[in-house]
Amino acid sequence: MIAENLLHFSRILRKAGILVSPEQVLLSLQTFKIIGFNSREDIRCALASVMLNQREQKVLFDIAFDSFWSDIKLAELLMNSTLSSIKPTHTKIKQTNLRRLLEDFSDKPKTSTLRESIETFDYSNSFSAKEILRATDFETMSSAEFILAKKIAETLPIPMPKLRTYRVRKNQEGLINLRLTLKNMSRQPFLISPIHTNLKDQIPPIVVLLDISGSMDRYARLMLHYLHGLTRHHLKVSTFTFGTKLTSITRCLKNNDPDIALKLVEELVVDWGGGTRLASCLDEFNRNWAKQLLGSRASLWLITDGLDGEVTSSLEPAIKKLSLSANHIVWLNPLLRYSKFEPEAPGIKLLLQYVNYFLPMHNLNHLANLEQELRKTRKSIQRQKLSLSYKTISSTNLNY
Amino acid sequence: MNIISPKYRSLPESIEETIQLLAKEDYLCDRQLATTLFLSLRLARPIFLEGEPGVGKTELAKSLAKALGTELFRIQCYEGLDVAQSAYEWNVAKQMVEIRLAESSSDLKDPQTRKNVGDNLYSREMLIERPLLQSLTQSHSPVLLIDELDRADEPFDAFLLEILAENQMTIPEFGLIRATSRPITIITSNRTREIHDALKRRCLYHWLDFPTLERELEIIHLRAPGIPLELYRQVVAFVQESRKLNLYKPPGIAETIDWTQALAILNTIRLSPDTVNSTLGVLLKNQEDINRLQAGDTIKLLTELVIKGYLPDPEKEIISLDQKVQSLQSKKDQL
Repeated sequence: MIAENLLHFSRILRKAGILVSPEQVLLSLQTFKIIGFNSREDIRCALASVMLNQREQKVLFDIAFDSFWSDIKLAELLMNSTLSSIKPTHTKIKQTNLRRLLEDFSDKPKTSTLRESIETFDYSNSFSAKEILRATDFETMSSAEFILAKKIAETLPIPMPKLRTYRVRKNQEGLINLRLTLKNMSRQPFLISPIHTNLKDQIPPIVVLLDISGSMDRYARLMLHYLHGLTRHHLKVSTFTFGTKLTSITRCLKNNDPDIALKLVEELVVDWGGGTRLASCLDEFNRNWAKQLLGSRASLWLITDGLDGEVTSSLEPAIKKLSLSANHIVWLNPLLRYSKFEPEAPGIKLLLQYVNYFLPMHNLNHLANLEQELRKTRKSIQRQKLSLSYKTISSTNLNY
Repeated sequence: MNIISPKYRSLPESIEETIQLLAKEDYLCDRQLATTLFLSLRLARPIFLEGEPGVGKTELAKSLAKALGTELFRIQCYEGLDVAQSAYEWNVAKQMVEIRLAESSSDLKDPQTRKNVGDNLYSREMLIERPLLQSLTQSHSPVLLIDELDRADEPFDAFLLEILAENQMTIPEFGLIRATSRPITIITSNRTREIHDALKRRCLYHWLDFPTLERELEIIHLRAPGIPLELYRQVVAFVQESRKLNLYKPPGIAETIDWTQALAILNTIRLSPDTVNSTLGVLLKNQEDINRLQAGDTIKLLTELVIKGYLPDPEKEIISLDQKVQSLQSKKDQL
C-alpha cells in the first residue's frame, strides 16, 4: 500500500518537474522502514532529503506533499490534471501556491491568461507557428504569445563567442607544456611524464545596462527573462537597470526560479516606466562599478532606445570613459524595428560614435542570432579601440 | 589525522539520539538536519549539504567525527585539485630504490625474479595514500569531509562517483581497492556552480538554512560564553533582523559568534548605534553592506529591536532618569 502511494507521489513530483528516479523511490521506501510512521514532519523531511536535489524544489515538494498525504481526492485530480476540472477547494493550501502547482503540472501558459490563450493561440505546438513567433516583434505580440516568448527567452543560449585566454588547461591532445612538466618532476624527480596543455577558451564576463523607462517597457520585461536565463547558465553576468537611477539586480536574477527572481527585481527597482537619465546613470556606473566589473575583457551591453529625456554635456565623457574601460560595447536598440530608422536624435548620434555593435533586439530571432553577429566583427574592434584611444590622447595633447 | 587514539562510539538508533549525540559536542542541529543525518548513517549514503557560508556545514562533519570518536579526513577543494593530491600517488623514489636494490642483489636474468621485482613495483607499499584512499582503508568507519566541492573542476565530480556509490576506488596499475569499512561522507557546497546531478543522485540532499532565533541564541550561548544574558538576546535579534535586509552577504552563525566575542572584549553592556557601527566589520564582510547599515539601517534595526522589546526604549529611560534626578534633587532640598 505504502509502495503504491509512494509511486503515485513520485509521479506527481515528476509532473511538477522534479525528476525522481526509480532508485530514489526505492530508497524512500527504505526510509519509511527506518523512520517509521510516527511523525509526519519526519517523513516529510526524510522524503525531501531522498527525492530532492535542489533547494528551489522544496516549495513545490511541500505543496505536493501536503496535498498528497492529506487529501487523496485532490491528489487524484492532480494526477489526471486537466486544468479546467480542478477547483482549488482545499483550505489548507494557499490559493496562490495551488495555482503555482497546477501551472507547473500543465504544459500550458499561466491560468490567468489561459482562456485568452485558448482563443487566440491554438497553434502553439506546430513548428511553423514557433517560427512565426520567433520573428514577431515583442511589442505586437498578444499577451499569450508574449508569455510563451518569455519562456523561450529563458532558454536561449549564451550569445558571447569564447575568447582565447593565456591560461592553460590540461588536455591530452595539446602541446607539451615544459614548465608544468618540470614542476611535476620536482615531486617525482625520476619520472618524466610530459604534461600536455592547450590554451583555455573562456566566455568573457557580460555587463548589462538595461533601460526600464516607459518607452522600453515590453522589451525590458522580456529582456529580464532573457537575462535571467543567461545568469543561470553563465556565472559572470552582471545586470543593472536604469531609468532615473541605476540599480544592480544581479543578485535577484541569481535565483533559479524565474518567478521569484523577477518578483525580487520588481521589489528592488523603483523607477519602472519613468523617464531616462542616461548620462547620470552612465556616470554613476563609471564611478561605482566600472572598475570592478569591466576588467578582464568584459563585454558591455547597453539595452536602450537611446531616447534620453535630457541630452547633457556630461553624456559624451561618460560614454567615452565607458568605451575605454570595456572591451567592447554592444548596443541593442529596439528602434531598429523600423526599417527607415535614421539616427537623428543628438543623443543617439553621440552614442553611436563609441559603440562597437549596433544591433536590433525586437524579436526572438535577433536574440538567438546574437552570437553570430558578435562573432562577425570582433576583429575590427581592437583596431577601432586603438584608434579611439589614440584620438583621445592626441586631443588631450592638443588641449595642453 | 588524529593523534589521540580514538574511542569509537556506536551509531545513533533514532533521530533524538542523533540530536543528543551532536549536542554533546556543542553542535545544536534542528530536527530536519538530524533526520537527514540519521538516514544517511543508516542507509550508508553520503550527505550533500548546501547553504549560505557560515551556517555550520563544515562544523557538522567535525562535530560528527568527534561525537562518534572516529577519524576525520578532509579534502578542501580548489580549482585544479587532482587525483594525486586527493586520492593516491605512486612513490616513484621508492620504486627507483627498489629497482637499484634488485639490480645489485639478484640475478635479473632469471624470469621469475624479474617478474617478482616487476610485481613488487606496483604493490600497496608503493602507494602514497591521500585522504580519499585513506578514508577507504581504515579499520573503523571514518568521517570523510569533501569541503566546498563547487570550487573543484567538474571532472572531479565524476571521479568521486565510484567512491560515493560503491565505496571503492580503481587504481589502473594496481586494481580495485574496496573499503574495509564504509566512510561516512559529508559533501558541502556554496553553490558557486551547480554540481552534476549524477553525483547529487547518489547523496541525500539537505539545504542548511539560518537557524531560528531561539536556536541561534542557544548556539551563541554555547560557543561564545561570557557576556550578559540581555546582550545575547539583543545580538541575536539584531543579526536575525539584519538577515531580512537582503544584504549582499547576510551574516552567518560564525560571524554572530565572532561579533559576540568582539562585543565581550569591548565590555559592551547594551547595543547602541555607536557600538554597532564601530564593530560592523566583524559581522559584515562587504563594504556596501557596511555602508548601508552605517548610513541609517543600524538605527532602523535598533528601533525595530526596541519595538519588539529586546532593547529598552531610550525615551522612556530618559524620562525615568529625569524622574530619578528630580527625586534626588527633592531629597537634597529636603536635607
